[in-house]
Amino acid sequence: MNIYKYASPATFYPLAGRLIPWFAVLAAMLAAVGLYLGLYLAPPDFQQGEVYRIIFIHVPTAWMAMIIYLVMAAYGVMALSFNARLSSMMMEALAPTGAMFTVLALWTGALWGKPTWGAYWVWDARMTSTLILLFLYVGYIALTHAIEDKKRADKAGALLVIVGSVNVPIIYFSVKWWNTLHQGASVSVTSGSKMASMMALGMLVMALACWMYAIAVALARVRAIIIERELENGGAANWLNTLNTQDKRQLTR
Amino acid sequence: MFVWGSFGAVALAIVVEITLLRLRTLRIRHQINDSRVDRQVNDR
Repeated sequence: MNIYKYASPATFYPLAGRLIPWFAVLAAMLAAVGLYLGLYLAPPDFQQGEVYRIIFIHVPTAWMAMIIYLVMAAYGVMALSFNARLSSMMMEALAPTGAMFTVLALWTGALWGKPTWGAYWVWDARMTSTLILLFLYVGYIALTHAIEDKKRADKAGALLVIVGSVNVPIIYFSVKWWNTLHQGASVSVTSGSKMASMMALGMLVMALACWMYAIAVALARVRAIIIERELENGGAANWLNTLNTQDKRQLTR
Repeated sequence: MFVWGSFGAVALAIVVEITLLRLRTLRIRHQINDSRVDRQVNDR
């Protein structure tokens, strides 16, 4: 199988359409299991009581905020190196979901901070760098929409995302480099988990659910972006004829 | 309250995101259908 043929928007469009239901169903199933583990099976924390359960959504959303940005940066490198249109479209498709996860990470963090620290917000290194990540997402969206020429917009957006990716390790290591109010990592690739196994399992399942959701939504959005760009180029009619019957019916009914 | 505020916000965000995506797809479908109608009128 030649995977490079899927680098073309026209061939990727039907593939994305076939993948979306799988990722969406996986996301729903994993979220159901994760919520059951986190809200029902996991015991209350001995210090924080029930409020610690915010961890089952706060940590996965914070991870997704950082991972999506890194994935966008990787697409940015591909877009600039190989002049790949689909990579730029994937960046555009991922940005709103990444921004949404960043807002949710900040929101859930604030709601966790109030009962445990006594404040919704402090200018802590982890929180401030995450706020900068939100500004980078918003900056990318604003910049690519402000430039009318799509090719130039894609290039400028890719550069911004690549340069901005330096912020992600700052977010991740901020709790080690500086004396922050935010706690250190509870789960680490090198040292494993410091949490009870049921709590760690619930959090990991919820993180997987967020992954599957993000992929499903990004694929759905990139399909919309592919058609919008074809419509702007005036080539939608010819392009529509290349689609299979099911995709064509979805668009024209 | 803090726990439900967190999970509720996530649920709301997902509903908003999927609704906006659905509206975007519907707008595209209208655009495509409009351009087909225009083409048919021009052909006549």
